[in-house]
Amino acid sequence: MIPQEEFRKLNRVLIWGKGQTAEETATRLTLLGYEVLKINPDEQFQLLSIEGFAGDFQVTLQQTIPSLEKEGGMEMLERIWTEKFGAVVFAPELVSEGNFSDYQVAPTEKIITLEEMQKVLIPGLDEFHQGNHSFSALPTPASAGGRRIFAALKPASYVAFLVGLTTEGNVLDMAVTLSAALEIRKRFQSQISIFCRQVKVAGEGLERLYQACRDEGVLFFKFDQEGPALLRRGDEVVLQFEDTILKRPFILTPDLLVFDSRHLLSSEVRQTALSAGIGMDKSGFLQSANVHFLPQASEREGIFIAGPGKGPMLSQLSIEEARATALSVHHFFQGLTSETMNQEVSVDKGLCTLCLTCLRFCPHQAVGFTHRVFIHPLACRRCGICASECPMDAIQIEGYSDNEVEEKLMALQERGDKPEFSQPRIVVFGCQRSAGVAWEGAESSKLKAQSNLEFIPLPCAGKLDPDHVLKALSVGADGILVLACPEENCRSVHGNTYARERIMEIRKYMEEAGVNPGRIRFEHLSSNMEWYLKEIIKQFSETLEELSNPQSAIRNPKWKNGPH
Amino acid sequence: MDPIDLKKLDPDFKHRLARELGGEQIKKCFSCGVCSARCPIEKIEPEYNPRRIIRMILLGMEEELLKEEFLWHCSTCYTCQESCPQEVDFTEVIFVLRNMAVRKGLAPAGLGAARNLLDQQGRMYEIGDFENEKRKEMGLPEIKGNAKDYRELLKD
Amino acid sequence: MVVEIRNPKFKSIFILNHNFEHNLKVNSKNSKVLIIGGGIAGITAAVALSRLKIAVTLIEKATALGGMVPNYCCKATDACQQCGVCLLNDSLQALSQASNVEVHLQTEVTDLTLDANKFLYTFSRPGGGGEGRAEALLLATGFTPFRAEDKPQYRYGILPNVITGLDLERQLKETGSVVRPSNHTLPTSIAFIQCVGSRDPHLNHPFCSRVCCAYALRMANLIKYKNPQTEIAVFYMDIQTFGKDFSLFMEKTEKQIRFIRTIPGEIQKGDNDQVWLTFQDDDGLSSRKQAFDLAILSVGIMPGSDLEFFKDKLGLPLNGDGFLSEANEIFSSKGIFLAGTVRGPKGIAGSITQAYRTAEEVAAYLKTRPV
Repeated sequence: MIPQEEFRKLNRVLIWGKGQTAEETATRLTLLGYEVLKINPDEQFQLLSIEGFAGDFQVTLQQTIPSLEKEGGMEMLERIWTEKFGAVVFAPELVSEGNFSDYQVAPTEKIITLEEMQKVLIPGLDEFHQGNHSFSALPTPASAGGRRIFAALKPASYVAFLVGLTTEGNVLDMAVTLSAALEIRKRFQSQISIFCRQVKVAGEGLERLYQACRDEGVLFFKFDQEGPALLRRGDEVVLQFEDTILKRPFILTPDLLVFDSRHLLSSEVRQTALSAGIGMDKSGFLQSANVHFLPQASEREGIFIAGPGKGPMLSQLSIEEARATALSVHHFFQGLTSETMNQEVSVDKGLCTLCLTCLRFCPHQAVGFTHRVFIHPLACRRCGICASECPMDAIQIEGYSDNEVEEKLMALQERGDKPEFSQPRIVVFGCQRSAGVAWEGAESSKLKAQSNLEFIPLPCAGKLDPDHVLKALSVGADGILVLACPEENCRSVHGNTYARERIMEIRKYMEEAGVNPGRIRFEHLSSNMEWYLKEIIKQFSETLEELSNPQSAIRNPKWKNGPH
Repeated sequence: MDPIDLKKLDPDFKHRLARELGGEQIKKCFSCGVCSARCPIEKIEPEYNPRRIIRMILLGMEEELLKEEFLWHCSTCYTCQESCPQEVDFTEVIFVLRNMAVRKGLAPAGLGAARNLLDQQGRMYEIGDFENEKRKEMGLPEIKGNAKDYRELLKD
Repeated sequence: MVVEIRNPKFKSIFILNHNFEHNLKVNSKNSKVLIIGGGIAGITAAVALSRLKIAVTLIEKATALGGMVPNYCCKATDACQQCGVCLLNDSLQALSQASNVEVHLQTEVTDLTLDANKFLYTFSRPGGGGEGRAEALLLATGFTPFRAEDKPQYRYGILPNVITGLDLERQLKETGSVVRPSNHTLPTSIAFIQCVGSRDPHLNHPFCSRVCCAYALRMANLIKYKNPQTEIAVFYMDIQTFGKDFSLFMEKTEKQIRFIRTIPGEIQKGDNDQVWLTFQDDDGLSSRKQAFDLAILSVGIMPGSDLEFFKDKLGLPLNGDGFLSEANEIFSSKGIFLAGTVRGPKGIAGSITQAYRTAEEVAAYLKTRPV
């Protein structure tokens, strides 16, 4: 174990992103006294890797510079260098791609994206989201495209917005659509129809905006499944649809057709996230879909995620994210993000064979090695997955070490076959942060008082050790109950899955030893499900009684004398 | 059914209706259908459906709507108006629609006849000698047709 | 703040200069923050401030911390549905380890004055009371659930098998199953009615409560997971996006739950305590009646009842929706800060983010506060 003080925290933060969130985070962190480097992920800058550990990351960056110096065209100059940072914040913006292919139309003068519309129409949209719902007089756009759009906006013209039809809509696109529609009505008096599945109003002031649009005479056509069919007639596009209220067919040939876009993480950011071991959700946005990472955490200590990279959001929230992130980063530098930080994790040099199983299994990239393996105390979240996986039992976590667990189990044996053990003896291994909380809850007080039940807390279900389970059986447990957090709710990502897999393995051992594998049970339990804890124990006791009944066909006679 | 071209409908209809007394809130409707679900007439005569009537107004289907006989089915119980979350005064809207229909000469024929009776008699029923004799038996004063006063009232 | 452009050709890279000082720590000594409300926002803010070594007094009028969240159930089916209810335990654990936080339960602030950037307050609690002072005030007093009785057409409180989403949360939390209150049997058909009290200018609530779609659909999935035979219909106007991977969530939900885009007109009593809903059927053109074993009213987030008190005592403006106004600068210049649903509807995750943000604002204020 290397003393924690040996690990330094560089007072520098890399902000990998652009836009409101990145800028605000940079500003706040600067005010907090950190040196901040903000890099915009684009073709010019790539973040190749984040090596090292929380407080002392080595970030490899690549800059590609187009140079004009060479004759016969552009030469690209490449520079790759490594810089050190104490923390990294991912705060990218999303890139938008017009949804043309979904609708099978090509962009023309009459077919534009919502982003184009927004640019020429609502330059002050950010302010709008800040709550300033009045638009100042808008200038005539300078760009040719902008002037073309303005030319199409006449009182007699019809504008159709198609939003949230081919992809699930979001509050940001709806906010832009509604404010654009309102602006067009007020300024140009054109007729506006909005085609969507759901009017997304779950944002500050959006219900009022929706109402204001209706007051201005904007029409809304909502669809349950298929949106309007797009038919081409010459250079015009005809929308053909059924009004879901009247159940009658309609057509509309809009003078301007505005499509929503797909909002995606740029490939640069995706690549970086993958190489840095930062999770994404199934939709491809940053941050794993795991509530325990809320608001800004990632799989790795010292790496934070903020802003719209997590999915489209109103700029109000982007700013909120930025300030919250600044505080999270600050907490991290003060060494106060993890309450379990002081629990020692040790690697026995004599036992370790440098097989690096720990390194492969660690969900937090906290394991490093030189001539020996070390667990980085700032990067480690004390889940103990490594300790359970270590084939040599070389890794121990204070409070959950093999010796400490075995002591608890021996105490169980000492209680022995006292007459009060009329009920089956159950050893419960449970994640301390979920099952442990449920076990300590008021509702469970009766359970705690039952002397036939022994709760052995684990820092994470991933710390479940087959040796301990077998030990528990050998000292007289009738059944083993393992409690893990629900799927996709594990603070250490896969701890619950590892636990489940290990139980399958343990069942094999049990069968080989002639012990009925029904004596081990695995359940998902979250911290506030005390009723379920009681229910499981009741059911499991019944199962175990059944197993121990001499009349029962499923009873295995070998068990009586223990598995050995 | 041939599709209706949205461009051939009258987008101004809803705005005009909203300028009439009682029609002010019409554009607030977001088609939740509470009005129709609670309407007692709709249960007997499904043709009369407040949510659909509002939809026709918003889409500008003036011509078709004002001709519809069902506009005259409303019993003016005000249940729709009481339960609308968006504060659309739908019963008032029905009055506005009826007035618009009358102005366009689209009211049902029976209504025209009733109006003519009112115009001529000042009453929906003609009061003749038979009625006055009955009144006399019951100690009530005789009534004489006084269409002039009513005509004055019906002006405009 | 000095901005140094390292490479003038490429403006996307720059360094913000600094003085290598953890500035928030400075000047915040001897400053005390009064947090009113011990829900998820108040607790999170208290922990965040205590980590900055700022002393916090947390006042909660109930007998326990947690606010509304302890009433909610875990909605995990075969996998977590990301409701975030379990996050309360993380926050409580962090609070129990926080230094510099004084927690007062069953305590109510009875008077509050702002005098020269200092808050003087008196409080009462069983067996006494007292007074205190604070340099900053953080209001995290939460919300009031919509009173379902105020929508009399749904007969809440009259028909036994009409319950609110909050009642359902409690049932699921305490017993793990949902039963019909009339006879404690499992319902075979359930109707969820969305927007009860929300998006309703008629009741002076012209806003979306932002959490009801999330809780209703998650609970509907949970019921379906426990009892796959249960038929569930959701009456709605617009389903709002929530959580990560929402489109995948909806794809799954749409397969097992019937969605009907309309708001039922009323609920009537049927045989066997069934509830009859009258609604405009989306498939047909007229309204119909359908019997359900249980109706669940998705009640929304309404302004907290104590907002009037703060409005009176501190002259704080309420916004058009009845929550404390978003016009934040007016507040923060006086040392008044807001977090959580006191500012408007939001869920657990939103409240946590906002609590962090507000804690950062409080710390920044204490640093520059006029003395």
